[in-house]
Amino acid sequence: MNVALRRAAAFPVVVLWLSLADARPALAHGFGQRYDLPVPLWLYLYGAASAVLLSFVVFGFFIGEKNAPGGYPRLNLLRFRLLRATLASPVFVAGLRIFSVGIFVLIILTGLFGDQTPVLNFAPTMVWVIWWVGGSLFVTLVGNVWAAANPLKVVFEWADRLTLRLGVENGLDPDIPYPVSWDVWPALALFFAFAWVELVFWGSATPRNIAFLALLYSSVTWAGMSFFGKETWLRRGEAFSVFFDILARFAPTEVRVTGGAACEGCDACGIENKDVCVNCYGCFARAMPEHRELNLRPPAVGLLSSEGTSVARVAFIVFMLSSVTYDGLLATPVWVSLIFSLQSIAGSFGALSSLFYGTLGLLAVPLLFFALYAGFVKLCQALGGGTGFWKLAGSFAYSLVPIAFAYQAAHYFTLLLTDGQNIFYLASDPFRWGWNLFGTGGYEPNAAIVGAAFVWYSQVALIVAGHVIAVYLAHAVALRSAPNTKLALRSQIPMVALMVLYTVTSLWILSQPVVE
Amino acid sequence: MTVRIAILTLISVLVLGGLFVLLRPNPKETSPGKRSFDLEISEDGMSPTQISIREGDRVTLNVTTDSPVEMHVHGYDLEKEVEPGETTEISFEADLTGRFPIEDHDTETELGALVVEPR
Repeated sequence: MNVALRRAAAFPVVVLWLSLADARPALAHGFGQRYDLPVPLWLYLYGAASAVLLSFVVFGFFIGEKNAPGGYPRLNLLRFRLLRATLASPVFVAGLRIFSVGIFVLIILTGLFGDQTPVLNFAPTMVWVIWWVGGSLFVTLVGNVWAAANPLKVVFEWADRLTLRLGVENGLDPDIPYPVSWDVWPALALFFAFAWVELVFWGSATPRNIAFLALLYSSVTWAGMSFFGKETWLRRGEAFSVFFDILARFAPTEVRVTGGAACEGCDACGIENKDVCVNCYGCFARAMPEHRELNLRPPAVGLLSSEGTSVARVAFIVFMLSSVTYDGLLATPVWVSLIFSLQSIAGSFGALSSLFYGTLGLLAVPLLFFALYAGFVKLCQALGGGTGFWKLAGSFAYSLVPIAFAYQAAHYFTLLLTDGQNIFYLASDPFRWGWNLFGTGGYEPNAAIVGAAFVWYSQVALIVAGHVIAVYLAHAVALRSAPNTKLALRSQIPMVALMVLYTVTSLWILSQPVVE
Repeated sequence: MTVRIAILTLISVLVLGGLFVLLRPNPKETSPGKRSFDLEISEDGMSPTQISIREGDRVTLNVTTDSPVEMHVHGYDLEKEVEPGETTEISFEADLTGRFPIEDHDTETELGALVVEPR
């Protein structure tokens, strides 16, 4: 979004047919403004060298290893009375859901009626910094709070209950079967639209646009749910549920249903093992309390399970991986000069130019990623033998997620730490109407909360750690899918090469000066 | 297995540590000093476009302009009216590291940037 905003300053133009609201550029302290310095060359080289070296260490770790890591240790948090009384209590759950809907309503209201300066309005900071950046970090590092408190789901459930009470037969329960061939394509299409707004559309920080787009997205979601059923749409059409579900596979927590009939008839779980289902929130909600588990587990193990890896899902994951990279790539000198030379060949069409080339990039980069990925998977398949292409493509796609997450975290954590502080004064005065609800209306964000050196070291450390986890996961996946250990290790060479390439690209972007 | 993990960890730590020491440039022994810059603001922005200093320096900017400008240094939140025909002095201590855009608040255009490298 940062880049889109900078472009907002560069193209203060009339908003075209999209004319949602005035696209006045961010004022004064620009929204999404960051003061990061590019990682110095020596540290970039150090990070790249470490990634390569540690890849060999992971190889060494697996040599002679016959068995793929199977189960993993789990600790059911609901076994402890105190945690059961809090986390699983109806009051806590209801409170979380009401809070989530409250925030959602506040975003819409402030977006529509509040001051339209992005940094003075609750909506942009809440949506882009707290929910999108902070929420992604939380889901990945703690657990899938979106699945528990998705405000669109909660509102739909309330409406469903209301219609039932009003005597409408079946409530909002649909009778239209979801077309199997659609798979998660609707979620991918909507996620593409979201990424477009975030990275290409220059009005993404304007409060009124956020409110309109949130309402538009909600309508699509509610329509999808009432046509095809709540859970079906959440698993296949609701872009953020699909997105956060993939991130939550990294999380050190899981919800699990053991025994009981809750999973019967659910098309998302119980494919391999009828008695157990992990991270299926529909089943978890239906299950009897004694069948529910909320487990602590080692991080990233959720990325090892490769069920449900259809073509559409692989496409979704690859788009996710590439859009993160595209976000950073947009502000590099290389990209900017590429667009300049394209403009001099193909022509520039004034205000529309940035939209056109931005959209082109958002299509081209993922396609390039996909081609590259497919090529490397083919190589793995050729060297390892056995498994089918799409199954392999699916399981390896999940193993790349830690690299993407590490880059996302490295790229955005300073934004969360600095611009995230704006939420303190915005919470007290969300509309900029002069309120001071919590007495924090005069809070002044501290831009010096992190120094450049600390940022550099943590960025490189994050990226290298993400790389090591990814290489480890890919090895474990290969051990499972290849016929024997030797072939598994051999099949790993292309995948590790791809991972090094991806990691070094991430580091390279961080080492580039940001182009205004 | 445990022995192998221990050996691998030891090798990794040694190699990565050694590499770090090898690649890291020697920290400059210079202590923070006084730095002074003459800045000219015109229609094309600021000249020089970028002011590069190191953390802890005491900085003085002598700013001249050909039209009235409300100069704003982000991050440091320094704000000063600069009028044509006179030299405006802005002094501060560079205690924040990073790249801070310098903007003309009247026109919302970016003039240049202040880059403060960590020491």
